[in-house]
Amino acid sequence: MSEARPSRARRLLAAPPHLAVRLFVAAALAGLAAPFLPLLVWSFTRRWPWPDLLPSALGTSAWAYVLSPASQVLPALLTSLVLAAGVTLAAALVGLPASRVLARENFRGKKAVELLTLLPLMVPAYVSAMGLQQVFLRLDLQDSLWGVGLAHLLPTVPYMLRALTAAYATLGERLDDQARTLGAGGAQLFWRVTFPRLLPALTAGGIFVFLASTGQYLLTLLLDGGHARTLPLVLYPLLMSGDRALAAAASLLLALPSLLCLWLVEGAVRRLYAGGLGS
Amino acid sequence: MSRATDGSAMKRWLALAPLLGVLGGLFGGGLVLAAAQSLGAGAYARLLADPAFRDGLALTLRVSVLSAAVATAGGTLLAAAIARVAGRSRVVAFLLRAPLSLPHMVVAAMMLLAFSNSGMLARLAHAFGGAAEPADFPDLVYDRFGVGIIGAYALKEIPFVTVLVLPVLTGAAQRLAEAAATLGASPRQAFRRVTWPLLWPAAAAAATILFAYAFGAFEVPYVVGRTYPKMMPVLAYQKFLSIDAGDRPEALAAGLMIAAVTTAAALVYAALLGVQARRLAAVRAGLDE
Repeated sequence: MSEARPSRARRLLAAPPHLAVRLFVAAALAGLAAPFLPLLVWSFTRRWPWPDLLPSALGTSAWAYVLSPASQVLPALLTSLVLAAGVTLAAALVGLPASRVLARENFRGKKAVELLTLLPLMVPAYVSAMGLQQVFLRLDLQDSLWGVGLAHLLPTVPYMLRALTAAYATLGERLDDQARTLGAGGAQLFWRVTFPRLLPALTAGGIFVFLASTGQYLLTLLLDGGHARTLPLVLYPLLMSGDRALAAAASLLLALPSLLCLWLVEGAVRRLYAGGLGS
Repeated sequence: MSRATDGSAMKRWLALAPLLGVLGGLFGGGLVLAAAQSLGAGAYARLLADPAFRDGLALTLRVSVLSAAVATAGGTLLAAAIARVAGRSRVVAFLLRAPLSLPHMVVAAMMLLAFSNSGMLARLAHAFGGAAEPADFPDLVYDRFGVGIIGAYALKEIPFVTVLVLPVLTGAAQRLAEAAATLGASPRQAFRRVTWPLLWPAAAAAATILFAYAFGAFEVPYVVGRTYPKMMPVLAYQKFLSIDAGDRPEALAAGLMIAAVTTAAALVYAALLGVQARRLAAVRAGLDE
């Protein structure tokens, strides 16, 4: 494929109008990233009166409050992370056996199952949660983190399933057969042969599930509203407090899991690949 | 390989059982229960007769259509530009994915800081001789038209569209367009006959997702929406919380309407995915020759 395209330098020389396209791409990407900057500056601002373009006094009081015990932010962060980890694990356990069947077998009813996995990508889960509330009350799942975790599975499982089904489809069955011929079976076959090859898809799907769970607001509010134990529920009042420094610090904290995942986990996956996972 | 005996069918459905429990039981069951609770007491008729609901529905439709259109047009344009100059750049890929992974509530907060009438945009306007007072700057966040909500979705979804469309423009379609060009097709012909037939199903699928998302999403209008008219999800939620017992069936009826519209969008999306898969298969077959 690379022989077919001219070298980067030659393409640049040959096409001067690309400069305009480059500028457009740079401007568009800068425009998408620009709103981050005021968020960062505002969170360290003590005073920034209208109509100044720069703050007149900087300080860390917003961060000090957000991180203090009074704000309840740190325990909520911990709750959100533990909840998201549980939801991710559950989504993987639901997705692993199902994706294997959906990727490898043809059966009557398969189309219906596939449509069912598509719907929660578009139909918001809170409508189901509104319908389920009465049942959850009777089952003692209302106002419980177990109920919240179950509800978080609705919008997240389809993503895990898609990642795993795609992985199983490219995996093929030949390697399984070879391992079986060599005497591997059951658990050994899964952990030594299949699982390492599913790991990238599990990680990609897992990151998505984890982030989607930490970001849920309305689902959690409907099923655990009174407690306000997760990060989005604790941060929302700060966001709407009218104090912009507080709102900015709260939003940055809310974005923290996403940015961390983007930096850390992607790096880890790349190292995993570089370490020769396939060999 | 797999024998179609009763035993293997049983194993198959056993493997699918947890998935069916979550999607059929919780998701589908919840929808059925919501539908059951919305019926009777004329909740649908009362909602449709309520001007607050009708204004909310009009706002919801306007915001979903416009934000999907703006994000799809902007994202496709950006993808086309990136495909020409930086299709494989890691930095570009990262910059595109950063806003994608942010919670919507954070994007809504960014809109507050940037677009409110004492926000950064208003201050810039003041510096350049516009708006003397915050009140002179148009209220873009809590406006009737929904500019703040549309802006928040556009900011978040333009990279989403770009990420979905970029592979179409840099993958098989590009190679086939290059092949067409070497065979003497003009750039316009190559675009019309090769790129466009692959591009539009991908862009339309992205637009369908965005429409459904904006129609049903709660967080952004909850942060930047005004008190009247309200977007449908906010309306449904507030009726759900109301202590007035008559409001509950109306809340579920509004929720069911959101579910119906987004289900229709999901069916359109599935059809578009089918079109895209068939086109890609045809292109691959063409490339192999």
